[in-house]
Amino acid sequence: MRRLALVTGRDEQMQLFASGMSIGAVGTAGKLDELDRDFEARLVECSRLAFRIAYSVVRHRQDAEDVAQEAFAKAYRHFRQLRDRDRFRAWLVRTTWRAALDRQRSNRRRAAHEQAVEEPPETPVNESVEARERASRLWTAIDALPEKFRVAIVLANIEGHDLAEVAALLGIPVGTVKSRLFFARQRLKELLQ
Amino acid sequence: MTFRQAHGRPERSRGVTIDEELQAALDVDPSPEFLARVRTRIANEPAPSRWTFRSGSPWMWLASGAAVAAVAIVAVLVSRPNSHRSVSGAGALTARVISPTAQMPREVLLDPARGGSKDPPYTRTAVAEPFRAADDGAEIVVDRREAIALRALLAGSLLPAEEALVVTPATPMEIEPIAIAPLEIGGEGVRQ
Repeated sequence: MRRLALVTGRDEQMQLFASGMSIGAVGTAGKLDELDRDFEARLVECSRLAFRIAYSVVRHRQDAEDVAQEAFAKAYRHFRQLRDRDRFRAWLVRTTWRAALDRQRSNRRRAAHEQAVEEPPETPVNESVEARERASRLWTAIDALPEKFRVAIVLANIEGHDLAEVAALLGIPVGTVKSRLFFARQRLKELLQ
Repeated sequence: MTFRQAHGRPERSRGVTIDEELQAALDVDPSPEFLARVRTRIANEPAPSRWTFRSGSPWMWLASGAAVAAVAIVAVLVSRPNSHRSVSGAGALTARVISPTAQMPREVLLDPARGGSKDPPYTRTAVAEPFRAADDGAEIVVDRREAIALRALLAGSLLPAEEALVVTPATPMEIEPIAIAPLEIGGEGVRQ
């Protein structure tokens, strides 16, 4: 433990974390600087976004959490070197997306190697059979999209992002986002029909 | 301006739009332990470096300057003419004077029957110049036997081809006349 070992053991630390205490709050007991508090704020702000982006690719809750956690760890390692902290969100989105794609490929390779049936996407227990089938078809269609269309339509449907926000997250012009979303929706319509 | 507003009327299929379906599919939250796990993971991460090259730390620039200066000094030293370079450790070897002469094959015989010279076979001796050391007095030390063999080889290869041949005189072969005894035919009925 880097800093917390000075004040608490691992079990106590886990209890502190599980109880919702933030890095900054723990740091008040010790020596966390402003950088960690800054990162903590961004972690709280972007955790759901990172998780959903990962989930849109791997479609497995535990895998998505692992991917998001890995992305945050990587972000923390390079957080000090990030010149423009306002671009953290966009950087995290791209990092999470790439990590999720890697995890998806890894899962597919492992499944092919073990000749196991790929685990179906998680669906709520109370969801109807028809809804499950519809969701399965939707994910299959999204998987068939080219990657640039796929990430655009996923971001546009997460957390109410508007076009400008999607453009900022992807680092592309708004017009490009519009055209990608248009073609993505057209393609999805074709695939779902 | 949201995505749906930007695209006007959404396409409807089975009563809900694709976007609504996708939003519903992506409306998944992480587990309550997720943030705790991330914080634990980050706490386990090594502390990020306090400085980077871009941050312009004076120590970084100082180290870079020292490295560049060292490289420049080494480059200058390497590129200087080596007029004063000496062979270190040359005294450890004992210089030997190579034998100045090397004898080629003693005699070369010529065959008088083939119109060659009737002069007595001559002896040609190859005299090798003694090895002169370089100006600075350094000598190349070569084994004596190797030097003799090498010089003999060179001297032999420089001789004219006919002189290098060693021809032995042919001795006339005496052939005895063939004597055939006459046939003797016996009388009739006599078994041979």
